[in-house]
Amino acid sequence: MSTIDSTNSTTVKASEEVRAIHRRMLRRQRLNRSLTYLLAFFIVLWILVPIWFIASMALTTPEYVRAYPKGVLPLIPFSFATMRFFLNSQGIVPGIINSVIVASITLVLSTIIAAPAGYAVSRYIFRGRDAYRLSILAVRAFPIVVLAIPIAVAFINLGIYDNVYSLALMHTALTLPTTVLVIGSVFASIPYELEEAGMVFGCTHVQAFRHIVFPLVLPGIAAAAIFTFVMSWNEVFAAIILTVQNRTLPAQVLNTLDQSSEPYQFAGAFFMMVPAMIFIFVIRRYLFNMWGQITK
Amino acid sequence: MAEIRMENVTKRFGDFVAVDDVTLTVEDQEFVVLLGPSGCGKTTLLRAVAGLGMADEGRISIGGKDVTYLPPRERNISMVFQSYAIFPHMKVYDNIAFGLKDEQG
Repeated sequence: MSTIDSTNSTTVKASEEVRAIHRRMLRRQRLNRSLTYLLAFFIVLWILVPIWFIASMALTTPEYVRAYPKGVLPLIPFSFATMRFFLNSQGIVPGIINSVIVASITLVLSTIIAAPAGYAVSRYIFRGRDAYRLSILAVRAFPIVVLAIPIAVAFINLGIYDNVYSLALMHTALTLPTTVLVIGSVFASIPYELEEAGMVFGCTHVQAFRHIVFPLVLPGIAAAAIFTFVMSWNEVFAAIILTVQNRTLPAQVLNTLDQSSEPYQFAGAFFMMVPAMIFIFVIRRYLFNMWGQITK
Repeated sequence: MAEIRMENVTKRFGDFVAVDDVTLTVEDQEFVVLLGPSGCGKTTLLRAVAGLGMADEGRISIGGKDVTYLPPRERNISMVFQSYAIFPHMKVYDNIAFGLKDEQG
């Protein structure tokens, strides 16, 4: 009996100490969490305030855009007048059409090339695999500023300068590194054992791919494709160097930016921003996945 | 069920001999456990029997039929993998029915 009592009392004492430690840890955890939230709050503010300001300026009348000091949205009248003015400006509608053409071609080409490449990089160990992965990134290691002039000269010599289709080729080359890596990580997240199980259960390798791997990677590949579209939509430097008459939207906007009025600038910024924001919002789950964080 | 016969099965990965000259007969209806430390070749031997990694030397027959060089789908076997291998995009029914469908059309 006495032994049991003594062990009991020590347990009680120990548990009190443990509880104290536990309380301290909880307090520290709460402090950490509130600091994290505070930091997150300021980061979000830092990003959202300019976006809100641009949106406010784009969605009001041109008079309010020119006014000083400027207001933000619920305080100033809501109107599509600024956007209408921007869309009616010279070169904007053709620029939008060009941008959509270039981004669509880039999306299709990039995905067609990157899907098999991503599968190979993530599934097979082949001679030169590491060199291949490095060379994919090497395209981005050279700044586009360095590449642009030789490429422009080459395009002129080939007779494909100032053409949306050749610009789409350039954008495909620029987006491929990211697309291959994203699609590769999507394939890598599907265990190879699933394919093997399919083969044991009566599939050929191709059938196992079609019935098991393909349905599983489809959403990820779609996300990568959308991401490619956004990258092409936003790309401005190659677009400016490689086109003169057939400008894409960002090239057109940037080209006329310093001679244009404030309403034009704000509306242009807003118009460029919105598709990217919508797409990123749709595919953010896969972007987190890409950085190795599991979100469901 | 069927008799599984392994004769002098050897599997190498480069210079490393993962399965070294294994001869084993598993009788029809017999229950056999392979026991050993990790890295001793249990999985490699099973994969050779399943056809997922072909043996470099030796012969494997299932039910009197030589399957040494047959692809896994023609061996009419089943295998439970070390980590789970259920198909997450399919319903329970489809997972169970997967191996039973006549033709993976």
